[in-house]
Amino acid sequence: MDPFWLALSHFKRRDYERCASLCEGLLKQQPGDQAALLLQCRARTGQNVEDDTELEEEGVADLMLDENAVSTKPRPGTSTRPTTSSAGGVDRPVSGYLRPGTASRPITAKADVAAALARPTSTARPITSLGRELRLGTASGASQALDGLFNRGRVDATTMAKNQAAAKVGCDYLLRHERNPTAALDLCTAALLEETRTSWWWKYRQGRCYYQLGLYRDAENALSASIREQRMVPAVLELAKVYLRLDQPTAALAVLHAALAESPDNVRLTMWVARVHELVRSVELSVGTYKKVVELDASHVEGLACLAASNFYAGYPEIGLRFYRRLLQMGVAGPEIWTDVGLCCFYSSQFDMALGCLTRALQLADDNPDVWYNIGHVAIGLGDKDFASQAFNIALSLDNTHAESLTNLGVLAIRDHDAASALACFASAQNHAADSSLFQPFFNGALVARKLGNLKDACTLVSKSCEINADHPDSNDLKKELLRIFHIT
Amino acid sequence: MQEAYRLRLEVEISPRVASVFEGSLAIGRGRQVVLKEECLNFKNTVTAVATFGSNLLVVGLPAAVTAFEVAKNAEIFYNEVADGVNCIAISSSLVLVGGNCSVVGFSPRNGGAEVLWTVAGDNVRALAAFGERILVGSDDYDIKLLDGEEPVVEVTEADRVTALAALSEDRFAFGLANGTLGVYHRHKRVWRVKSKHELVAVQVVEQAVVSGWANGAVTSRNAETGASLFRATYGSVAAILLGDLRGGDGPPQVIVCSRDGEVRGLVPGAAPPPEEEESARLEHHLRARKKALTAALRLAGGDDRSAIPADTRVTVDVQGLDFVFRVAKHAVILSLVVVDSETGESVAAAYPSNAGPELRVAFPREKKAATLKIQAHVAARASSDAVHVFDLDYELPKFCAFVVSEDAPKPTSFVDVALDVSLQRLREWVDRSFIAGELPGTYASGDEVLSIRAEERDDNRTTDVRIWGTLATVSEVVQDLATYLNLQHLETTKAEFPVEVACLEELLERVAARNAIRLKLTADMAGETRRLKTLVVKLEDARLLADMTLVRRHLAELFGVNAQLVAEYAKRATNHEALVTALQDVNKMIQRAANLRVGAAKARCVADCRKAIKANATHALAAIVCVGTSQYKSQ
Repeated sequence: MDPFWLALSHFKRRDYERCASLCEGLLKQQPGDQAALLLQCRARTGQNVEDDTELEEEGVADLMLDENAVSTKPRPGTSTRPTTSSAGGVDRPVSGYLRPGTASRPITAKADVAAALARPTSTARPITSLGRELRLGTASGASQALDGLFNRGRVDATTMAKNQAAAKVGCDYLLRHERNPTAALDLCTAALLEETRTSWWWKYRQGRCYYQLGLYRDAENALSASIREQRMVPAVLELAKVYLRLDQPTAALAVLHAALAESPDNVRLTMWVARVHELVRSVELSVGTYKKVVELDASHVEGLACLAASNFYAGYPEIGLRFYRRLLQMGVAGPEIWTDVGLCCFYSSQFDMALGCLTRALQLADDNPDVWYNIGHVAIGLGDKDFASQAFNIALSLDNTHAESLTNLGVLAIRDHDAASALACFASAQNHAADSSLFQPFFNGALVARKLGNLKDACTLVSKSCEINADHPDSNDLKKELLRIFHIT
Repeated sequence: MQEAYRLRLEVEISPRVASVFEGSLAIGRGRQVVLKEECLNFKNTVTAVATFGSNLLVVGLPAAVTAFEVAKNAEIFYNEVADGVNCIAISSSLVLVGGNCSVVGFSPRNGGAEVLWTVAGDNVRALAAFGERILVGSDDYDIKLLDGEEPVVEVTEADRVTALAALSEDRFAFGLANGTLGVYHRHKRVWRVKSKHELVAVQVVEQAVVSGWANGAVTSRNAETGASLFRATYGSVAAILLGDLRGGDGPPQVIVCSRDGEVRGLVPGAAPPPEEEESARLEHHLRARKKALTAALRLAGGDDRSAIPADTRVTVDVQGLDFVFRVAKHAVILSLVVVDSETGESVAAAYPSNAGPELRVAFPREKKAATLKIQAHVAARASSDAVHVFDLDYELPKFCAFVVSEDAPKPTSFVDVALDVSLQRLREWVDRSFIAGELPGTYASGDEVLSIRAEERDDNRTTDVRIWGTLATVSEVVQDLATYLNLQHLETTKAEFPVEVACLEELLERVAARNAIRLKLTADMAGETRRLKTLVVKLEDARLLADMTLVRRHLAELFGVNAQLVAEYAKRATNHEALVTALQDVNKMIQRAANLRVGAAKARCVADCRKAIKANATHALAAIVCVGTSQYKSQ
């Protein structure tokens, strides 16, 4: 069989690896084979395709060293950045669905986890470098494959741009496989001088290059120009992403709504509207839009998951359970879903089902402390203290910094009138919770200290608790009481 | 007027970057705009701040302008402005941006679309608007009043224009860097006053002109007469705004912002202060009169030896580039001072060692009309101890630098215009605008040659005029001619400036090349910056892990990337400078081409040039310069 035909067939079947290696072989025999080179480029690009309409996490370097947002203190509901705890209190996690790349932790017990989930990354710090976009050391030059494709020792953007079809393949190759936005940008600029008919395509790619380089203003310009010429959904989503990076969700929504006016039933656009609403914490609007997403596409995983979670946190675990069941029917199975299903069962008083589901989660997750923590939580609900403390201890044996488990162990110790070990548990939880928004160990510690008559410690701890969550009424009451004792008020 | 309130902000206020926004102040400070409760961060230094409507904050950056809706935390537009942003004014529907030789108008209701563009002769430092009318003040001392894109009034002042404010459709107040403040009614200057300090801000409130100087003086004057209504001295003035900081329904206050952060609100009211100034002026006048009379008395009773004939006159004559001053016999000119009455600066002075009845003085001449005040000191003999002072005014014509020179070679570039006037009127103009002008005539100033020829058509009503010279000079001649003849509209019949057109095309090529380099460098630097950021984080990780070998390696790499970035920055800065100069030259060239025409034709020429440049149709430019329009259609 003709190897090139075979390679093409592999490509059509999305078997990119084989396609690429076949092309490699062809090129060894005949280095000047343009068709094989082109196919190889496309296969390599295909291998690296990812859904880039997702909003990826900002890397720690960007978070620390860059300030893209204009307003330092935006009015409520106009920013995606987390508000301070005093600004109204968020008592439900932002998303029930785990988007790729985010590292939120799938713990799902209601009261004490809510605050933890409000921050998208509770355990893992943001990805070290700059997320998935960057590869160090690709600063100069394009690849050998491209060199071959355009018959040049060194790829020159102007020459490349002459052959539009090949240049488009080359551009995507540079962007996705090489991850070299600088070179891709050169190509886009050169191509825009050559071509005017499909300039929207090049402007869209240009916008993406700028976005990856962190030049958001230029990205905005290029994408807007592309959309003006030809409104394409990916370009609109990319522009919305740029606005979110600039912390202007209102502008992002305006762009999305403008696109929706033209294609009202587009699932991806609707999905993004819902996401943006969720990011600015307008839950009602977000849930309403998610419902629309599910209406448009009854098997939309993210939409279903978000509806399930929102129903769960709105106090309708039975309805949440239905959505989760739908997800399971669709074949989406994982420890997170089983944990969620288990918790839904638990809160709708189907205790027998709850433990079964959590066991499944354990099987899938390979001993995950979070699952054990949730099992412990169910055990507390069932009144089985021994089982509960055992579950928490297992969670701790898997991850000895699991602050939530430590806190609950402490509470159990109080039940056993063992103040000393309770205090030890809380102290350790406080250490590990130092950089998160868990206020419970501090509050519980303060309560114990107060009971033991150690007013000074109680006061220090409760102040810390108030600092983390200014809206916790019990903490505030306790603080007031303590201050009254000290005659400070 | 009286002070209604005073507050002190903890920020220093730089001149011209303050505005009243939603009942509080918005002040630009470095890369931030400080609002009442929040700060807005920008990627570059804030150069201007303004408020559009009630909710849009317009912020100027060195190469961009953005309109930000604070309540929604969203930008309405973010537009790049290659010519830079020196000042921002708000007209009834537009955000006007004054930059390097250009004024751009963006429409916020239209997503920031560019709907107006016009050129100025130099950096635009002052802008104001009244309805659709726009006032433009530039560093070449010019003030233009535009109706949309069409110029209505153009006047030239004595120094850089630093502040403008519109009083009505055709009246406006201006302020200059040399401290002059005044009011124009169309072409006519109604009044002006001078001060030694730089004028920073001018505002108009209820037909009173409120002005602030760099030394902290704040005055309010009647717009009609210039009579002083209010005077106070605060800290060095940074801006004078009109707005309401009290949050009530009351009338807007005049808000004076000082550089040190002190903000005062002034409201009308309280009796005007005693007319100190008026009486002082009167006293000064009387003293001067007394002095003159005393001198006359002394002269009348003085001895005869120092007396000069009573009918002695000093006459002025121009020979080539020299001015020749003569007195009748029995007297000598001891010394002479020439002062430009507009700027108050002395232009020339002469005190020859051997005084005679004739004195030759040469002084640099600019292409600018001026009224010279000449003071000649005349005595009967060089040794006389009584000196008589003769004051005389001399009107220096606009093209005084050009001297008739018959043998100068005629330039090849020229413009043809057809004027509906008689040859006689043209002769009058030549007499007024040139020294010893003649028509037809060829003039030279240094290497530059200017030649004018006019032919009356048979109907005795239309005159064809052809002017040879460089584009810069010819455009000025056309403008001067149009002003003299009071033309509202003038279209060129033919124009040929091959050198200038080639130069413009080359300039545009240079701009395109520089722009490409800029984009490339920006992308490169962004890539490097990302590498740098990653390295910083990796370095920090390695440090926390106490892996010193890794730390050292990262540091070495960081050092390299940093050095590279610094080098790139230097390249970029040089490139940027070259780009700005080239853009400025392009704008100047367009301005000159437009100045070959008057009225609507001029506005159309500017608009066409802009369109051609935006669409990258360089070849159309030659047609636009020569014919005033082109067949070029925007795609």
